[in-house]
Amino acid sequence: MQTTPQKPAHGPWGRVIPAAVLAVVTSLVTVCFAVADNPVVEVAGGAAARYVPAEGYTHWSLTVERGSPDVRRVTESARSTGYTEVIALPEAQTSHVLAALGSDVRTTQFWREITHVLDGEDQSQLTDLYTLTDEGVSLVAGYGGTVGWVYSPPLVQLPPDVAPGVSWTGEGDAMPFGLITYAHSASAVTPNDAVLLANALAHDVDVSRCIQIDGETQLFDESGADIVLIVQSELWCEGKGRVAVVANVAEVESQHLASAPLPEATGISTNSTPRRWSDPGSWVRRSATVTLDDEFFGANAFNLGLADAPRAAASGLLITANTNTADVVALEPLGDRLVRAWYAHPGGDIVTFSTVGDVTVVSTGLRELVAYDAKGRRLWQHPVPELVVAPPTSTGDGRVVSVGLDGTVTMLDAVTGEIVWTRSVGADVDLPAVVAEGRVVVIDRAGAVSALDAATGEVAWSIESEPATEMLGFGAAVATVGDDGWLRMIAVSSGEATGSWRYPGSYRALLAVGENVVLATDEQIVAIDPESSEELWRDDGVEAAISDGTTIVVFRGATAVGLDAAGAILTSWDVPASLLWSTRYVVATESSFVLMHTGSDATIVGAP
Amino acid sequence: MSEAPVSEMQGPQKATAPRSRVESWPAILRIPWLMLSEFVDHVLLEPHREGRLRAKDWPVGVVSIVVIAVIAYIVAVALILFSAPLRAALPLYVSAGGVSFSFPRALLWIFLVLLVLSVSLLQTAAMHVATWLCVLVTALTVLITLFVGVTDAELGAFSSGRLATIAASILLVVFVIVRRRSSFAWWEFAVVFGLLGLSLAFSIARAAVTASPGGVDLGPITLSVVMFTIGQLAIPSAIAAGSAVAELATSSALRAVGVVRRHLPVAALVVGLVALLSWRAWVVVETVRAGESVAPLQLGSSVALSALIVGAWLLLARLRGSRVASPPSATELTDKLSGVAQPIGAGLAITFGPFVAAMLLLQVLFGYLGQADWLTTASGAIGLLSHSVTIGVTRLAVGVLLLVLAIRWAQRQRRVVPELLASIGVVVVTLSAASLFGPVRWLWTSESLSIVATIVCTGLLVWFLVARTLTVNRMAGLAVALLLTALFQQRDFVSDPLGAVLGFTGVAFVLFGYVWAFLTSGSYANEGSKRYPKPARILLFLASTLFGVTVLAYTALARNPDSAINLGAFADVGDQIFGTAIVVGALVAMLRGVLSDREPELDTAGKETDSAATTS
Repeated sequence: MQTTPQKPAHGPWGRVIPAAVLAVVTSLVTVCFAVADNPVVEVAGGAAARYVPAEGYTHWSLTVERGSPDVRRVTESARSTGYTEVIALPEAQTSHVLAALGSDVRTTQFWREITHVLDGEDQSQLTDLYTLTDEGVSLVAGYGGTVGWVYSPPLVQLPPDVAPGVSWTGEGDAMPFGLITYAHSASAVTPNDAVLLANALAHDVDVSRCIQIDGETQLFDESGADIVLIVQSELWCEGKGRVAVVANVAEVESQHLASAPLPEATGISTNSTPRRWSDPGSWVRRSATVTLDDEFFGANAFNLGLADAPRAAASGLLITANTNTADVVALEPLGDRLVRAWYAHPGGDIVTFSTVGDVTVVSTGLRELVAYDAKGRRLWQHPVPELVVAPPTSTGDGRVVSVGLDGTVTMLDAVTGEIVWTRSVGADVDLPAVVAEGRVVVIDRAGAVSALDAATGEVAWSIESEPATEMLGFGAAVATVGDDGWLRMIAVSSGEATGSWRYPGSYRALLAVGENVVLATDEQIVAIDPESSEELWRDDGVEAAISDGTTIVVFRGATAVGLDAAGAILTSWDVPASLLWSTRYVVATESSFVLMHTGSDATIVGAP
Repeated sequence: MSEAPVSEMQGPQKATAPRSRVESWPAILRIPWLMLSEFVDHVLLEPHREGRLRAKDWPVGVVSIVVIAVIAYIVAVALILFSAPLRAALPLYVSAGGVSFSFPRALLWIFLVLLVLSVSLLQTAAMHVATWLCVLVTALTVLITLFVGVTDAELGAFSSGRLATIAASILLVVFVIVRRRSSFAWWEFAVVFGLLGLSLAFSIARAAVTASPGGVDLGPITLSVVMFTIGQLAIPSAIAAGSAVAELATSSALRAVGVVRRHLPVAALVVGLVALLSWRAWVVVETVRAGESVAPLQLGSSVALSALIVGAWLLLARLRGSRVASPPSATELTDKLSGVAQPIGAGLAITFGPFVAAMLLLQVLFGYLGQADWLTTASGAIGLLSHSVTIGVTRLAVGVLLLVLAIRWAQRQRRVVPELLASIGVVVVTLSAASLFGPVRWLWTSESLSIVATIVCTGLLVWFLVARTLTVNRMAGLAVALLLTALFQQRDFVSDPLGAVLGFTGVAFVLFGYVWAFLTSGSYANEGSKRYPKPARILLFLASTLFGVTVLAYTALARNPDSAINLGAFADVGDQIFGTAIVVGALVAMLRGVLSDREPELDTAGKETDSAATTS
C-alpha cells in the first residue's frame, strides 16, 4: 500500500474539476433514485377513471320513490389492484368473475362499492365490483341482494373516451351460465336533468365537473324473453362517482339523490357488559368455519387475513380487521360457524380498532377515525393529525378516548362523534389510554405518565416513569409493564407509585383477577396482591393469557389451560398452536373464547 | 495554580478578544457576560475547536467529498427536526396489520441516496486501509448491493436488476484490487458512488416497474428490510453517542464552578454550595420517597463500584510507579472521553457486524437459491450472534480487554487514558456479569450512585466544618462534586427539550449525541498513519456519522424506534457505561483533591496528556 503524502489542492484541477465531477455524479445518482422510486402507474380506464371515487370515499344518498318511505343509504368505495377483490367475493361467484375478466387479473384495477341500507325491511348489504380497464369503467359483479350478478363481458358504465356526445352499447351474460343476459345502451351528455342538477347544486357539487349518462338496460331470461327494462339518467362527477340517479325500473320511477350524512344514532348501545364466564371447567373445544352466507350464492367459506386480534362487541359479534381487503368484518358465532354479519371499508389500511359497546371505532392509514354501529353502518368519521396506533378506549359512559402518535388525546362521543375535548401531551404515544377514577391516563414512549380530567381534559398530574409495553387499569390504579422488566402500580388520584415488582422474561399478558394482579411472561405467570405486594402463586410461562376476572386461560403451545383465581388447574383443551407463518389470535367472549388464524378456520372453546 | 482566568492561560485568541471589548462595561454586566461567554466557550466551543475536522493538507478533491457528505448530513438532521410537519404534510405509506409501520412515501428515495452515499464513503475509505478492514468492508458492500438486487425477482430468468447488481459487485471488487496499492484519489469516490448508485437505482426501478402494476409498492418494503438488516451497523456510533450527555454534564459542572471561582468572591461559592446542598437534599429525599432504584443493595453496589474503580486506579498508579497522590483530574478524564467512546462502542457491538453480514448473505442466497433446509439451519445458527448471552459474553470480554489495556498502558507510563479505560472496564465487566449471571435487582443505578455521592460529599463537608478545616479549595471541590452528581442524575436536561420540540421521544438523546460527536470527535481524522491514511480516516468519519444519522432519521420519520434498530436503547447503554465511568472517575478525582486540600483543576491549561492511546 502506497502512502505517500498527498499534495494539497491547488489550481483548477485541485478545486473546480473534482467539485464539478463529484457534483455531477451526486446529482445523477440522486435523480436516478428519485425517478427509480416513483414508478408511474397509470390509472386504467382513460377519461372514465376521473369519475371513479378515491379509496375511502363515502357517499350518503336518499332513495325517493312515490308511495314509499325514503330510504337512506351509505356507500363506501374501495380501490385496489389484483386478485384480492375477486377472492373476497362469495366463493361460488369468484370463478365466474375470473372467467368474465379474462385478462390478467393480477394487474386489473378494481373499484368496489359497499352499500349499507339504513331503512326499510330489506337492509341487506350490497356489493358492486367494477373494473378499470382499456374498456373504461365496467360493472363486473354484484352480490348481497336476492340476486347475484356476474356480467360477462363486464357492463360498461363509462367508456374510456367518455365525454358529452359519446354513445356506447353492450350485451352479454348478467348471471352465471347465461341465466339472465343483458343489452345495454347509453350516451353521455352535458348534465341537463332538472332533478339531477337541483340535487347537485343543493350539495355544492361543481356540475361543470360532472357528466350525465342516459342509458337503458334490458334484461332477458334464458329464453330471451324480457325480464325488466331499466331506464335511468345518472350524474357522474369527478372523484365522486355516481352522485345522483333518476331511474325508471319496470315503469316504477325512483330517485337516488345525494344527501348529507344521516346516520342512525338512536338505540345504539355503548355499554359493555362485564364478561363473566359460566362454568368454564365444562367447556369443550369445537372447530368452526368462517363463512359468508349470501342469499343467492349460498354459504361460502370466507378467508380472513388477520394481523391483529379480533374484538368482542356487546352484541356478541366478533369484530375483525381483514388485511386482504382492508375491511372491518363482523362475525356472528352460530354453532360451528362464524358467519359474516356485516363488513365495512373505512378507507386505507386499518391501523387499529376497538369496540365501545356495539360501536366499532377504527383508525385508518388515511389518518381518520371511523365509527360503525352494530349493523356495520357508518356513524361518523374524523380526520386526525397523526396516525392513531393505540386502540381507542371506551370510557364506559358512551364516550371514547383516542390517543394519536403525536400525543393528541381526543375525547369523543362514541355515537355522534362529537369531540368533547382535545389535549396534547407533547410526545408520541402508542399505548391505549386507561380510563379510571374520572381520569384519562396516558403514557408516552419515553415513559411520561399524564392523567387528564375525563370531563375537561385538564392535566391533573404528570410524572416521569419508564417506557412501557402495556398499561392497564386496576381499580383506582394503573399498572405499567416497563420495558426495563418492572411492573409498576401508580395511583390514578395522585400519580404516586404504590408498588413495583421485577418480572423475568418477555411480557405476555396483564390481567385483573379478583383483587389481584396476574402478570404473565414467557418465563412465568405470577399473581400478586397489589395491597401487600405479596406474591400469591406462580406457574410456568405462557404464550398468551386471558381472563374474565375470576378464571384465567393460559396458552402454551397447542394447549389451553383453565386456572382458577388461586392458580389451580380447572381443565385443559387442545387448541391450534401459533405458527411461524401465521399468528394465532385469541378473543374472549361472554361465554367462550375463540382462536383464529389467517384463513377460514377457527376454534371455539365454550359451553357444550 | 495561579488565579489567572482560563482564557488567559490557554491563550486562544477567540477567548481573549471579547474580554478586551467588555472591560469598559459596568461590573454588573461585565462579570455575568464573562462568566457566560467563558462557560459557553469551554463547554461547547472548545470541544469543537479541538475535535473538528481541519481542512489542512487535504488531498485534492477531499473538500468536495466532505461538502457532499456534510450537505447529506444536514439533510438527514433536517429530516429528523422536521419529521413531525413532514409526516403531517405528506401521504403516509402504512403497512397493513398489527405492527404499525408508516412512512412519508414521497421521502423514501432520499434515504436510498443517503444510504448509498454512506456505503460509498465507507467503501472508498476502505480501499486504502488495513487489508482485513478492506476485505471486510468490500464484502459488506457487495452483500448490500446483491441484497438490494434480489428484490427484482423474475420467474425463470435472471432479471436485469439482479444482473446489474452482480455486474456492479464484480466491477467494484476489480476496482478495489486495482486501486488497493495506489494513493487515495478523489475520483475513486466518484467511481464507487456512481457504480453503486446507478446499479442500485436501476435494480430498484426494475423491481418497482415489475411490482407496481400489481398494486404492490415495493419501495417501502425494500427500504424497511434494508434498514432493519443493516441498521444494526449504526449501533457502535449510537453507543458512543450515549457518552455525549454525560461528557457535557461533567464538563458543565467543572466549568460552572470554575467561572464562579474566577469571577466572583468566595461568598458566592458559599452561597452556591449551600444552594447545591439544599437542591441535592431535596432530590435525595424525593428519590428515596419514590423508592425506585435506591434499594439498599443498589446503594451497596454503588459503593462497591466506586471502591472497585478507586482500587483499579491505585493499581495503575502502583504499576506506573508514580505517586498515588496524583491521579488524573476530572477535566483530563472528560477531555479524553469522546476519543475512546467510538472504539469502545465498536468493541461492545462487535458481534453485530458479522451478524449483519451473515444475514445479508443468507438473504442473498435465499433470493437466488430459494428456500432450503440448510438455509433455515444457518439462519438459526446466525441468530446466536444476536443472542443475549453472546452479547453479554462479548461485552464481558471487552471489559476485561479494557482492564488489560489500562494495565499495559500504565506500565508504559501513560496517564489519564489508562484510568479512563479502567473505569469504563470496571463498569462494563460488572454490567455484563450482572446480565449474564444473575438478576440485576442489586445493580447500581444513576439514582443510587448520586445518593451515595451526595451523602459522601455532605459527610465530608460536615467533617471539615466540625474539624474547622473547610477551605476554599475544599468548598470548590465539593461544589463541583455536588453539581456533577445533580447533573448526572438529571442529565436528561439536555435531550428533554429537544424531545419536546421533535414530538418524538425516541431520537432526541441520540440526535444530541450524534451531532455532538460530529462536531467534536473528528480529531482522529486530522492526522494519518501508514495503515490508516488521513483521507481514509476522513471518509470513515463521514461514513460513520452520516450512516448513524440516516438510520435515526428513518426511525424519526417512521415514528417508530423499532422500525430499523432502536438506537435510543443502545445510546442508553452508552450513557450507562460511559456516563457512570466518567462520573465516578471524576468524583474520585475531585474528592481526592478535596481530601488533600488541593485547588480543583477546573481546566486543562497547559496540560498535554496522552493522546496516542485514543488514536492508535
